[in-house]
Amino acid sequence: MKATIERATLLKSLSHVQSVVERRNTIPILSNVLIEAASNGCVKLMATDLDLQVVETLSAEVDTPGETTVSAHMLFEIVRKLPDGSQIQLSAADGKMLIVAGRSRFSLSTLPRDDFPVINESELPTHFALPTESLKQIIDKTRFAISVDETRYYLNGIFLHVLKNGEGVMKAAATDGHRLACVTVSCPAGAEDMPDVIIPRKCVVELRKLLDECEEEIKISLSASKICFDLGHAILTSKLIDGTFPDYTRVIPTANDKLLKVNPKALMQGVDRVATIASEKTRAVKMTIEPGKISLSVTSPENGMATEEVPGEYDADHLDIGFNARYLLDILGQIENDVAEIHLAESAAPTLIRDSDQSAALYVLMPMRV
Amino acid sequence: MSKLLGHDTAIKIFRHAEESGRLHHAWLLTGAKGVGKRFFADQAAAWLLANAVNPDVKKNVEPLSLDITGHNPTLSLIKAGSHPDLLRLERLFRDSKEQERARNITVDQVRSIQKLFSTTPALSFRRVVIIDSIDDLERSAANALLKNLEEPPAGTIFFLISHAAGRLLPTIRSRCHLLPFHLLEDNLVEHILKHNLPDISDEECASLVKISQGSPGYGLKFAGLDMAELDNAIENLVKTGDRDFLLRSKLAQSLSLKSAQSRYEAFLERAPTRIAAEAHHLRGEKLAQAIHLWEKARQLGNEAVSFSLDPQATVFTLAGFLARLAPTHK
Repeated sequence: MKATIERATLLKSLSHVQSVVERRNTIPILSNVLIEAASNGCVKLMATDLDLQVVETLSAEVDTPGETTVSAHMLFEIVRKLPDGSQIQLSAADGKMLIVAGRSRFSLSTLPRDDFPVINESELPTHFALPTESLKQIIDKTRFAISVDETRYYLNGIFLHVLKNGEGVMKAAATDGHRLACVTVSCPAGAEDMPDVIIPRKCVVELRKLLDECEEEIKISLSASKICFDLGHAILTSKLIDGTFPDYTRVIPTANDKLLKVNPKALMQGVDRVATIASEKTRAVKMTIEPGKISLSVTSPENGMATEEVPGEYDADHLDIGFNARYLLDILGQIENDVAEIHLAESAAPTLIRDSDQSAALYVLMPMRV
Repeated sequence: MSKLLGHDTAIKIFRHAEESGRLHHAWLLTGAKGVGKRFFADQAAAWLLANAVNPDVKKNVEPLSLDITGHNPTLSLIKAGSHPDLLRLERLFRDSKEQERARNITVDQVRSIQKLFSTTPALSFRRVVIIDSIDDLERSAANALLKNLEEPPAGTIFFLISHAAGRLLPTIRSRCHLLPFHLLEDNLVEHILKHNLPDISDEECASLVKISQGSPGYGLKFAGLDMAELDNAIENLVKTGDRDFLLRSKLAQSLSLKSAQSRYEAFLERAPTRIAAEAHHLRGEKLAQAIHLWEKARQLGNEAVSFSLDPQATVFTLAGFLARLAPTHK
């Protein structure tokens, strides 16, 4: 293999690829990046952690097509330290890869290409395209609610499914049992019969990093066991979570008749201030809601107490309710309007929070006993 | 890859189960150390994973074999340890000492199975877990395994290697299909030893066959240690009784050298085995005495390395036990 690549191009692709590679790896080949140079001037960089695979394509001057694998972090560091604007020549032969740029020469040891596990991304039956903005919205508005509890592994991702009743909507949901986030977008053509999938957290995180530099549409293909995102310059393929997502629609309250309208920024700041007193363990904030105002209070036996009043629009009966301050802040941080709608029922019932009844995203938060 | 010899029945049972479409999800491979259980597990895992990707692989293989011939991508991945759907649990190397392995397979290692199962398989519908050996599981690890062993996801096959199936938790044993591995005939052992050690002399080979007692892997452990000479020394002790203590002093001196560490460890294993072999021919009071000696020798042999006992004194004592077997000994 022999190819010459411009430093900036190579560095950008490598930075994407190397973030997939696990830092601590007991299996040598998994810390490597697979480099494939084709005769048509295409160079592919591929990295994997066995769950997630990313392939970056970049253009280069290819003298001799071929393929090899070298340590991803090592190559990234070398390319990062080379001067801007330099032309980097990669050539591989006899178990070594030679990197030449200007007056620098590096020789890295390589591992055989056959040892590198490649997930085949071409045989996935369902294909559709989603606008980049929709995908960003799905990820940004739900990922804070993804559970980190490994015993409930089926919650460690975003659940993506299409309603089968012909309404033409696609829903994405994430929950950890205390809070739930759900985003509804219109169902793209081709996705009508897709299987329900749970996209693992690491895939979500890596995908989001790549989305900012993407074109308008992302091509997605998936099966019941794999999902593949074609971002133009990069292709991300991931295994899915092998489990059943719980029927979350049952916890979304439909009959919460007490509506509180409040400025999310003001409420956030208030909650954040009083939560300073709250004990690390529970983080509970009590809200006393009366027509016209919300009293936030925290009482901690060790630290003392704090109260604050926030104005709000409310015309139902007096209500005391407690929430985990961090969860409440997470949700309020997602509200884009100047007014957040908080639908309450009673102090022990799930609470629905959203921008308005037109908004794509809705959140459910379980109260705490205070 | 070389061939698995002497276990045609096991291969037959396994292949029959696979072809009938009712493959049991957990196989307990039992038998003495070194008969070929691990070899079988590796081959069977490769066989399952390769066939799940490409069903044509099977067509080129003889009916009584699991050997996949020629170049196969699955084999390369398994060899590099990078197959995404295969998990192998064995005792980890200790950080401080390169050669030494931890005493147990830990509960954290067993929990990594859950990580494999929580995502969909990558290359086919199959996932394989090899545990080598299930006897090394610490108690909590064994209990952590139960849930996964009971209802693994579809297409998942376990191979559990056990050198002492009787000691396993009954809850593990009852979930598995038992596949026994028998000791091999001496001529087969000799064949395997010669295949693995092409340069071996006939005398050394004969000595290793004797040590193997049907387990070529056990014999291979002693390869290159000049076991023929060591065995000669042991025989001399047993025959003559070493009345003037010359033999045992010489042996103790030669084995106490730093460079003779592996031979010293081999002797620690060989001495109790030799006493046990002798006990088979004895009756009455002599037998009782031999059993008593065997118990002491075995205990000493087990403790010598972990307690860092002085090699010279240990060999001297063990040689003394051997000498007391001699018919002339009063």
